[in-house]
Amino acid sequence: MKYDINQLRDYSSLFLRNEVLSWLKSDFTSVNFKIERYDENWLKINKSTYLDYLKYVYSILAVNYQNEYIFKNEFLNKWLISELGEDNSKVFSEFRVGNSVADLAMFNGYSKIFEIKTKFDSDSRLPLQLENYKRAFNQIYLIIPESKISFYKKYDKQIGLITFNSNSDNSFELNRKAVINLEIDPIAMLNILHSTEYKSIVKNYFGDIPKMTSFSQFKICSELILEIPQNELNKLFIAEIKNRGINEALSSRYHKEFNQLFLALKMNRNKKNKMIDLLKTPIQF
Amino acid sequence: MYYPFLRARQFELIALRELAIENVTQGVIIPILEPVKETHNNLTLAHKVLVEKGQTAYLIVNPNIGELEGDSNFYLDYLNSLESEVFKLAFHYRNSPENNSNYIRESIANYNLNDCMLICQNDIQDTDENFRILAQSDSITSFNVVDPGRNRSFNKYISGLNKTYIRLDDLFEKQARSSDFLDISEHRFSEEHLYFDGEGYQGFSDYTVLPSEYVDGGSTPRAVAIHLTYLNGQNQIWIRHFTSETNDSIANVQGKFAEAAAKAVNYCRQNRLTNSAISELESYYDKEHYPGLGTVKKISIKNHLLVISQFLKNR
Repeated sequence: MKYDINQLRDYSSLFLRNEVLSWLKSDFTSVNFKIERYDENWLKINKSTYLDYLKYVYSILAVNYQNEYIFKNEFLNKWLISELGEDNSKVFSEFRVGNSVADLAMFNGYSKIFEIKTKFDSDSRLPLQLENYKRAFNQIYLIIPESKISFYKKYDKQIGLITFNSNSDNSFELNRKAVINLEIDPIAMLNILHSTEYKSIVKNYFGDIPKMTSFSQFKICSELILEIPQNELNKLFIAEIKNRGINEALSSRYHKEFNQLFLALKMNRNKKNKMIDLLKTPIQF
Repeated sequence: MYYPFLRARQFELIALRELAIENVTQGVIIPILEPVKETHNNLTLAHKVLVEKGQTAYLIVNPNIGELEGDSNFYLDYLNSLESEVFKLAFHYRNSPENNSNYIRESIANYNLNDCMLICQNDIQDTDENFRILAQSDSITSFNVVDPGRNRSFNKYISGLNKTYIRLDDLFEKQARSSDFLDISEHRFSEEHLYFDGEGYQGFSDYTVLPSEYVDGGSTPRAVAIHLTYLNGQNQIWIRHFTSETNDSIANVQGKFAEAAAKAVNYCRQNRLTNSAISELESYYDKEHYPGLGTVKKISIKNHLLVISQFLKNR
């Protein structure tokens, strides 16, 4: 079936952060708008819940409109979640690195960035992004549509490439493995860390924290952190970031349409279950 | 009387609590609080202190923003449960998306309310019958109108009601980034405290040194700015934006605070500006302690309210 581009764009607005906040208040106004606008027939056949409808919309978008949400969510489901399962690893959406924000950052034995460039994205910010990421991360991957492979291959040879094939079943394939870079810039790392985190690194490595005030702590800790051998510092950095935030409850099996939203909204298992329960409300106008 | 319009958030409420405990706001300042969250622990805490200290405040029961945006009974029920005598009620009068005069009338009747405030945009027609019926009701005793000079006939109508008439001005000019304050030198902020009663108002209202626009949350800033108001030689209120210098990354917010606080403290000491908010800032600076951005905001609010309170008490 062929869908109008405006309808697809309209559908895609259902998978936004603000939408979830409305759902959590049992406000389904904008979902109702879409049903009224496009899917009254669907509703006649499928007297069902908001959860069913959103999954139906997702399935249309997954085939016809791979915007950043779909792209990211499919990548989480088909790639990252299995890698995450391995050991105690952690993934973050929209991770701030210097003046850039990485789409996905993952920490297991190494620190990794996954930057997504859909066919709708330009590469204008990419050179600056790569420069920022390389200063603090061990591996950088670009996730790109298969059709753009020759275009992105010309970038830095150290960068890994993962391609997305929208013609088959939205599968991802490793095209080029990222070179592991252990030459990390401590200053770039410091700019990522919170104050409790850099203090904890100093304490872990030196066994103690020198006397300092909140005004002087950054300078004192920076000087100490510059003394830590790179290899050690990289490990301490990864361990510290892994402690950050909550344990997300991502599953590649259940409600996988919403994984990227769970991640972006830093939802724990309770919140996730609450959202799903609310979405199980039968559709009503 | 000065009616600072504040969102009922943690540090705004702490500022009000501390000022009430100091006994500086009673009789000259009545805050108007707009709740933005469903949880109201902070509000209940503040309420307890305000009761003890005899400080009145208005609570907006149908906020324009936040988690409970719109006309509902949530805060009406909440106030009912407090059996509050220091919290009076304020309503936003709205024409869009639809006129809410029925909601306001029904709330007044169902909860047996009196001494309420209507907060009005200046787009209301003085011929609006829905509005007139409400405005003339005995339960509505004060009007807070946004920039009332923009609607002459409405202004004339409200003045003629012989009820408390307050003007609400949006004074604080928000910048796209905090670091933009670095280039803004001191400037005139407000003169309403000098002229409001001569121009037929019983009070004046503003958003203090905060933007009128409400933004929930926010990420780590690149700059720290401490906004301090003070009276100049002609009793006009002026403002200075003491802003950090190293604003090229989000790292070391403590160091940014140190830079901004150094500027603010030096200025206050050179110009002999003192009050409890400035003393608190000086103490953090002298102890090299970073108190958090919420406290920085609290200090700016408290200083502004103290400046106005001192002026109103001494005039």
